[in-house]
Amino acid sequence: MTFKKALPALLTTVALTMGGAAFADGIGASLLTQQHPFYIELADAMKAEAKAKGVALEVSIANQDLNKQLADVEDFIVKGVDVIVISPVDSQGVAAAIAKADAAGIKVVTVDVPAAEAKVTSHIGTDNYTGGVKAGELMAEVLGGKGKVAIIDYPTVQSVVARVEGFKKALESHPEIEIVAQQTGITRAEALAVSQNMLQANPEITGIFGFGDDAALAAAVAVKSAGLEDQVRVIGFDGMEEARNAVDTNPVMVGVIQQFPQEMGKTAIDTAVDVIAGKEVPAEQPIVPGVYTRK
Amino acid sequence: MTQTTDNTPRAGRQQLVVALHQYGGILVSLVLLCVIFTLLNERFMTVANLTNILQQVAVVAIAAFGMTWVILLGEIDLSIGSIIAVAGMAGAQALAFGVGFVPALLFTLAAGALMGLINGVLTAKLALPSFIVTVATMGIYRGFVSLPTNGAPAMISDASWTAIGSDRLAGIPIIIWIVGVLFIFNHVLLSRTTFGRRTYLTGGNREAALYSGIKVDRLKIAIFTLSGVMAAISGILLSSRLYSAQTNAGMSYELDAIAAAVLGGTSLAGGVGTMVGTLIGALIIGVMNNGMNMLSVPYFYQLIVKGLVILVAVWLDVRAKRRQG
Repeated sequence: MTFKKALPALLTTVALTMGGAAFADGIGASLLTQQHPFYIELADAMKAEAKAKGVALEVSIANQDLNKQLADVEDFIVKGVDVIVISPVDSQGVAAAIAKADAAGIKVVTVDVPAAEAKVTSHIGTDNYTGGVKAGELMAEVLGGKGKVAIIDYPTVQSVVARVEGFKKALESHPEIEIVAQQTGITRAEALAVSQNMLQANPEITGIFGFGDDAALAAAVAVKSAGLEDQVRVIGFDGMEEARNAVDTNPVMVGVIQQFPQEMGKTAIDTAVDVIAGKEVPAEQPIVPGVYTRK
Repeated sequence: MTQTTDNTPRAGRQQLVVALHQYGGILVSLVLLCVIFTLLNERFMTVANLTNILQQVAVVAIAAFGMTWVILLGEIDLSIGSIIAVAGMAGAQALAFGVGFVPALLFTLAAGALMGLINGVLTAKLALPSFIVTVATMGIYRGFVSLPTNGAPAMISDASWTAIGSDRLAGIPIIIWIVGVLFIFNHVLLSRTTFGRRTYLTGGNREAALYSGIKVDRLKIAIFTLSGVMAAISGILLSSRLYSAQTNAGMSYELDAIAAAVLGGTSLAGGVGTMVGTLIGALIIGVMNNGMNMLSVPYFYQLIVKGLVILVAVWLDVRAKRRQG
């Protein structure tokens, strides 16, 4: 390393010609956010697995800003990591970051949110469609095969779209269940307002499906404040601790589809390690979610 | 607008002294940051990485040029983050409509100019504080972004549009050329023309400007329009870097732009500031973001350090200026 300090000009030339030679070996991970329990568990699982496998792992947080994610990936490329793991801020816009990694010859693994327009080495994610179907089946079972259902969605996120599609698909075989409202509620505050509005507009609603824990927990609060605890049942998706506790204690929350961020994070790191070792990895690695109901 | 040139004969050395006097404090901060990052990470001071920083800082730097004009007048424009997003979406929609690259570009710039014009007219003609006007338009413009796609991002596949953010011209990324040209444009407009002098005068002392016959309202409208156009250019670069128009694009970038201008010595009271200073300020923000990434500083610590560095840099600058007096 000393000769580099003595010859910075040479270093610059080397860097220029090699474009991104490997100084820092290992995995660079660019995650969507660190303000959501799912991503905290995912990041913790990745760090634990990286430690267990003895591979260097650096984590950047995009804070839901695609431009920051692109900058984070650019910085990984300059650093010369071997593999980049991305949980995309936006399934389509992430194409720019993947193209840059491709151009630098660095393989990309996506986790949780898939890339829509770009090809990656492997994708590890919850089978959201199957999860949505399970939510729909649970809803039909809870409502005894008939009723009016509302959905809180987040239409710009592909994984949520798949959940809602699966949910609707499952309800198709129950003709006496009618979907009367579908509104967007991304944050818990928005979801609360949306649930209240939907209950106001359709007082005969008997079931609400929230695309995520936040949406479902907000819906449960709205049901309570409307005094409809005996009438409305809520099902969520994600299955973090808070929602599981709610399912255990709050009769309105009848169930939650449970994702497995630990398994996802572990699989992502194992896949990245295999990629570094030059092994073949499957292009799709779906993680089927479970159904969590009161014990 | 009359084009006048500064004909005062100045020795190069004298100019250097003036420059050091003006930018000494802030330059010290920039150099210090670069030295620290170079010592801590061997990959920091490489052409590849410096190019990276310039590309990453472009969007904020250009918005900050526009913001500098507005702050020089003693006003503020909080809507530029939203204008950045609207511009990207306007471009994406025009391209999707099939108008072609150049018309889409012109349409986007016109949209930026219109949004700036609205800010300017509301501020000048209704005599409302620009803080309130642009808080309101920030929300209004942000709402408009989501209308065409119902909140979903719009993909951009036009090769010319995406080339702006990813291609090179004479070995240098196009995006860096654009920043350079816009820097020179704004710098010359501010320091070498009557338009620039009127801006300084009005921001420094509004009453005196009115008495000396400057049409303050018209100047205000022109400057808010200019700020809108700069933000639109930022939006074009951002959408071309991201191959898409994101509805949450540019969120809170107005704060980065204000930080860049103030780091560069622009006074929020108006009348004091330069484009050179703003460019250095933007570079400090870019170097910090990139340098801490290179050192793998955890994200939440990055936020803390960034805030502290801004405080220290502004303090160093203010102190240096006070001493040199």
